[in-house]
Amino acid sequence: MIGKQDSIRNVFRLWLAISLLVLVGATLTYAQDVQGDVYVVASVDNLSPYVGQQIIYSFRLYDAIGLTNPLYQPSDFEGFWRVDIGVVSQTSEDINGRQYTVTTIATALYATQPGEQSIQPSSVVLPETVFRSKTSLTANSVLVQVQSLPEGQPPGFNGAVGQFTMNATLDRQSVSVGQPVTMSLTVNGTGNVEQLPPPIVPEGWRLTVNTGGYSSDLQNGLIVGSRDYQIVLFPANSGVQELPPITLNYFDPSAMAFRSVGTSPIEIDVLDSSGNSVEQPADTSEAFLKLKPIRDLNGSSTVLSISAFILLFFLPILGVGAAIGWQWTRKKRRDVQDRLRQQQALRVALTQIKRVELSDSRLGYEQMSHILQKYVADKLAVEFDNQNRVDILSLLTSYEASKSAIVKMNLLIQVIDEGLFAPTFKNNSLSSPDDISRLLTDVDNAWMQK
Amino acid sequence: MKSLLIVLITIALLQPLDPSVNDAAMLAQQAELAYTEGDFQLSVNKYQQVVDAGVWNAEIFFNLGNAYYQTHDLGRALVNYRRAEQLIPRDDELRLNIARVRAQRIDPPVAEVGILVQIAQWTTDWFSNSEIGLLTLMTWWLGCGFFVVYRLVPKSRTVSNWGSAIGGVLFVLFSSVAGMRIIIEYAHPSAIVIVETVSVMTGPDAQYIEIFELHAGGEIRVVQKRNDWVRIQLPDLREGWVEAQEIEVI
Repeated sequence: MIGKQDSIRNVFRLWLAISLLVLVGATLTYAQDVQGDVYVVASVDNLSPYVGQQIIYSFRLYDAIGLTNPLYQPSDFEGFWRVDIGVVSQTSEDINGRQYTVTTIATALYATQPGEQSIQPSSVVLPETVFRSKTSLTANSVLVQVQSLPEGQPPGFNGAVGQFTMNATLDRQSVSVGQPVTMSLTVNGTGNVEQLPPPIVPEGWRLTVNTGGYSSDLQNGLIVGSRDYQIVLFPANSGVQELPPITLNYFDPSAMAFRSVGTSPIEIDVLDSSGNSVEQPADTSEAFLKLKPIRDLNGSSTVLSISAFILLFFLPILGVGAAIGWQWTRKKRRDVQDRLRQQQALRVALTQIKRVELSDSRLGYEQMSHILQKYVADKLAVEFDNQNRVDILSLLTSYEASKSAIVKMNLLIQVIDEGLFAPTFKNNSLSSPDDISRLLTDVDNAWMQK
Repeated sequence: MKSLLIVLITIALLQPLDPSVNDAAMLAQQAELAYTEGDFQLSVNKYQQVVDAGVWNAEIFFNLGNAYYQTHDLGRALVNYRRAEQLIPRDDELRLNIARVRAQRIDPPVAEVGILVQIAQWTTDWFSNSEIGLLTLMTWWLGCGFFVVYRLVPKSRTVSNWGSAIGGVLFVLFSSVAGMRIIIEYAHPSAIVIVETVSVMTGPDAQYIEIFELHAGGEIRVVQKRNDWVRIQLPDLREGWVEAQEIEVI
């Protein structure tokens, strides 16, 4: 019985182990697939080039899953002059039974100095998708051993490395003394044409070399560049002048030898000013330039010194500041005066009311009306302007006096108006100065209650 | 004692403030004499001494440029003409001489790339730095003055409003030009090639590859300095490295 139980347990353990193995195996297989879906490799076509020799750096993207919009991020190619070529091929390859699309991005490089140069890795960024976060795949770095150019450089060698050809044409064969002749020169080659200095021009000629346009073309996987030069010649002497060859010395890495290309000697018929081909030196004297009289060495030629500029720049700011400050002070002073006026409005009005003799006098009520208007003006800190009843009430409303104050003020104005316009009406119970003072005090208190 | 003091003060007041000015004036006279006698090298030396003494004068730069021109030193002639141009930009003779050097140098003229640089260059042909500064100040004063009137005299607000607006716009215009010129000149100071031929390299060392050549009188800007080398930029934005001693900053 015990033995049977043990065998069942063993069978269960075996099943568990097999299950675990299958599970681990499946996971490992999946990991390999993920790692192998997309990968990148970098290489160069020549690991030991000469300084200035063109090499092709290839970055290959292996893609088995059909990527969309991968973003190529090239190395900085420090130590090299670079010309981007771009995508040169997109092929399909079978690797370990799996179909990959292989995209090759090429860059032409020209080493700028000898020694061991490490090309830092380029990479490709795979954008984020529903199934994958943003990923960057980095290729290997490439170590290049750059060789110095061999000894025995010919005179005038200026660093051209590669294979070159040269074509030249003249715009005319016959010219007058002092008139320009333009030679169009084109240098083609697989070397570093874009960086190429102008070719050696013959000495003893007055000329200028203008570097013209550059163009390049991809031929057999290499950049073939073409550089134009315009050489403008000014013949100084009349007669048949022979322009010696214009040469370009270069190093040919495939032959490991220095070579030279050049134009053939060119004859130019230089006529004198009358059109005759006579040997005669041209007038090459230069203009004698007049000096300027020096007016004052003491005085500076500058209109304005820096310190004066800074001073004069900040002065208006001080002026504006002073004006704003003065305005602010004036407003503050006015505010204080207004507050004082408001605080003393009632006291002033009451004092003035006490002095008024009302009895039946129309003059007394006129004075009372005047005092009231002045009280309102003081209270509101506005200009006194002979306001009538409507003006006063609308002023109170606009200055948001309390309703109670407005009602009481209305009553007070009514009393004064009755005294002013109906002096015979004797039922006026509020006709004495004390009554008016009390009523005005009520108005003021109501104002304070606001 | 008192009279002695008065005499000493009088003598002190009669002395020129800067004794070197007399020397400079004398050197300038000697330079002019040497020039008229055809000894251009001596003239260059004398004028150069005046400049080295710290005299910053348009006529001295102009004459030194002429003296260099007569010794066939186009590079240094242009350096001094361009310095004079900073002070007297509208001088016809100066313009003619600059054009003469530019026509005779080997490198062809290249147009400046970039609208801001072109604007700054255009203003350089017409206004000196101090004139642009003065115009900036005048418009600044105008704007501020009208602003003060606007604040203090409420009755004249319409006029002062317009005045401060016009002053403000002109100030922004002139100060932008001044700022542009300062930034360009400080970030990338103008320089001239002063040797016959300069090899422009890909890096700051003679081991690097030569990209192209420049010749005396070539006008460039200095972008970066590293030891004895400077990274230069041509008006068409081509760049490279040259030895610092082969160029002279204006």
